[in-house]
Amino acid sequence: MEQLLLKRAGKVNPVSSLDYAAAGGYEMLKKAVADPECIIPLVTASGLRGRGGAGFPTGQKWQMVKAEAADQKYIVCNADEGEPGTNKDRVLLCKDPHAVLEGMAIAGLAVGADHGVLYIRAEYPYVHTILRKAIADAEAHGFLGEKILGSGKKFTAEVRTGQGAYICGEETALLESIEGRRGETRMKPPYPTSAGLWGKPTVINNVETMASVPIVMELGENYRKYGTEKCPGTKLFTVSGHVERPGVYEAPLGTTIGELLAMAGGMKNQATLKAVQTGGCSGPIVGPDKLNVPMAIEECAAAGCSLGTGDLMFVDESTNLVDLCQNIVEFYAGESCGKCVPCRLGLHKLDQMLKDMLNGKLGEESIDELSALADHTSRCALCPLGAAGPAPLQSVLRNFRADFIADLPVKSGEEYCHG
Amino acid sequence: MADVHFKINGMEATAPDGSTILEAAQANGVEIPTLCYLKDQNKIAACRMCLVEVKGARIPQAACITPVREGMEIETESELAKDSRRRNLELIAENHHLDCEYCPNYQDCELHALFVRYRVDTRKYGDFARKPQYDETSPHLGRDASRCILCRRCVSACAKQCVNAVAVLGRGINSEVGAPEGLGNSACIGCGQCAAVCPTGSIFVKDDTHSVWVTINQGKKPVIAVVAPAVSVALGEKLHEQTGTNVSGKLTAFLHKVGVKKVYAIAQTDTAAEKRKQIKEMASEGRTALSSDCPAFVRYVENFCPEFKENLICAPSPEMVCAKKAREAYAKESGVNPKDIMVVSISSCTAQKLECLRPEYEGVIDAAITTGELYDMLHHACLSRYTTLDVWRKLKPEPFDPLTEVKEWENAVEDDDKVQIIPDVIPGDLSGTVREFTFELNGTTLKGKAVSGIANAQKLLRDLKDGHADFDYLAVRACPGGCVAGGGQPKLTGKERNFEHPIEKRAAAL
Repeated sequence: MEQLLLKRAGKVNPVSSLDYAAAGGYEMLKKAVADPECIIPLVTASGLRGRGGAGFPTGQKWQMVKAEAADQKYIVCNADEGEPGTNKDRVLLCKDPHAVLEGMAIAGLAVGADHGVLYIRAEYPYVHTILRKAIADAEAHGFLGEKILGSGKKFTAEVRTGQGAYICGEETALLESIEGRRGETRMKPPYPTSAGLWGKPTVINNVETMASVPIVMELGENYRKYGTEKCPGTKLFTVSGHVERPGVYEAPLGTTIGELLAMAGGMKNQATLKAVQTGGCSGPIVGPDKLNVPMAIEECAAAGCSLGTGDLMFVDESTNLVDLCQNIVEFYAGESCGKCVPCRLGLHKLDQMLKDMLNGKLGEESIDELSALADHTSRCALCPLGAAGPAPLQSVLRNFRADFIADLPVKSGEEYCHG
Repeated sequence: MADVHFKINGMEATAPDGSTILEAAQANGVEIPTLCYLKDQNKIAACRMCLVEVKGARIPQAACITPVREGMEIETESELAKDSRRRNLELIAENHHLDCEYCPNYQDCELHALFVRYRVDTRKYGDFARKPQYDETSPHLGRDASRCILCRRCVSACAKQCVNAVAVLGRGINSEVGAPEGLGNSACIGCGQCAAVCPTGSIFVKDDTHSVWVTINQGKKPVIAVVAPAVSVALGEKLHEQTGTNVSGKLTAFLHKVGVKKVYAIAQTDTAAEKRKQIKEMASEGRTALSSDCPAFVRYVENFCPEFKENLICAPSPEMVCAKKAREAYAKESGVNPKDIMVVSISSCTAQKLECLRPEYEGVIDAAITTGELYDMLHHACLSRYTTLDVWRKLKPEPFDPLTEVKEWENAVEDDDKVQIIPDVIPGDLSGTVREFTFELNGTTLKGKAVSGIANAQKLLRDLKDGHADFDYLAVRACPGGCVAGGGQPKLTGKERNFEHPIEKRAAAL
């Protein structure tokens, strides 16, 4: 299968900007420097959508920032890849960091920002080194810095590291973190496109989006050859769980779940597929009947799946669904910032109830309460984290209620909630 | 501003464009419950108590932050809205130490009121109340983290005072509000605004009435009291009087009744002489004088801008001065050794509890109690809140006891014949008004500014630091709104604070 994002991965020295340029890199930056006005129309025409999960059209986002009148604008690259089971950004940052830097510089030229911040999660310490070296190397060879490629245009980049909070992957919490505050989501509006980093208009894009930018600059409308009509291009998919070859695979958007499973070598030891979690840790958990669903935003949503960050976690018959849900909910309860009541207390309570189910204290009779609390938490939480936390549990209760009950250690526990 | 038309609970209504659903509902007589929301201060939509159903919206909307739009159809008490609130309250109840009987805020608890309003089964998830988690480090404020519901009102109040002594620590279920090393070891200035806004009894003013009762009941030492003006205009709120009623007469009568020998009023003149002397000295050196009437502001200067310590007028607060005067006056009158008199200061101020502990003012005030504590005294003397009201209604107002001037303090007066009051009246509003005034000192006209709230004072201090201050004297009260809004005043609910302008009403009654 043709590779666009990973075409250089493993073939060039990731740190060396000259290696990257020799492999065809920084060509699009030259084009952008020569004619910054051509960038946004090209990106818009390509139909590129954000790869962080929400799928907002990139060209449109850039146009919004460009239209803002401000003395200073910023580009932020979101490399806080905190979603459990997602490794795609790490692959790009380790193996082809200059593509990301080129994307950021092009974004900067497009909207009139001369500084970029690459916010990377603390858990990737070795990647920090690669990125810092790559930035220094690009500046030493004039690809970035005060005078890009000898022109009068400036674009500098810096690496900022998180401190291990999942919520900092949410764009406004990420900005709070860069500014040195507690990572909590901001009230929107204003959106970062009008008041982002340090209150200035800011483009925030995912690593993969940035890495796709040089590609769409090169291909323009031809980018639409790949992927679906509404979601053009190729994407990195992280396939994990009980499969033969877990890893990051590049495929056009619209590739079905089953095809991706086949790319990863199928189920390990030919085990039977029980369930697959789509779109990341907060994505719905669906059954084998969804293997023919194409991984693209609209198609997934229609089928009750989610594209999200492009994760697929396949689990076999040996998996206890209660255990799986408890694991996921515990993660979100631990990552809640603690601001709003449903997220702070609701997720914790869900976690406790699931643990009590695993311990044999609660049985089938508590499922309705569990389900009601999960619905309440996701409905009433202040920010997407609280809404996302119970989502996998909700999908399990919807799609696998019988299996969930079968996986309970005891069918009838002690009465938990009186009244 | 143009009006928007909308429907609330089926009724046609209008509200100014740009109002939130909460404001629009309030303006149309519909009350939406809130816990975390404080107008212009804490708009974080965290408690999720104000969730309402908006037709067409996928999920319930937080009324405190959602603007009302033309044609909106809002249901504030739909089953979904009520269920959302009830579930949130159940979750809060599980993580809240339900020791209501022992809680200092048991009468004014906003959380308890919501438990009642929504018939919440507080023990739905079992009866495993949290263990108390006290912070005992501070002499004026107590804290029990197990009663905290993380509404962050105190955090916003402290941030508004530019102190930031309390903040949120930890995350998820382990989040807690507090000072890492305890309040007593923080930069706290003692204003007590955190306690004033706490909807539960998590941060509270420490109760110092015990020693007063013991002394009164033993009858060995005479007890006398000095009362600040802000007390008289706020105490009535707890006793079914209209906000802004001056109840100094009944207050005096009550204190006399329980056995307080003399009740004196604290007056502006108490510190006037010393103030004038020091302002004159500083003005002659070209320095701007900073008022030291407010002990919390003094602490703010000491903790946050020590470069201005020298500018502070070296005198205690009016409470201190009046207490000293009162002790001497009563000793002279009754022939009791001044050391054998208990002087109780009653004010709206929590910082005064700290001021009393300063070594230089040792033995001036024996007990500093707040308006809230005075109400508790009234309540305890009258056994229950029902008889309290009954007793209160029957009290016949009595005037304050006259305080004869004591010679010693007049010695501080310079050559002026008469002590003139510096007209440094603090504007009693919350909008940060800076009141400018002029006053005569030995023939020269000096300019003064008066302001309440540390944030507003900070702007003027910054001017002073930058060297373009256009005033010779700055009078500050740390609490936004002045002493009438002191941390020790009767508790105001969020609703009262947000919509009923109680601070302004109290100030107007002064």
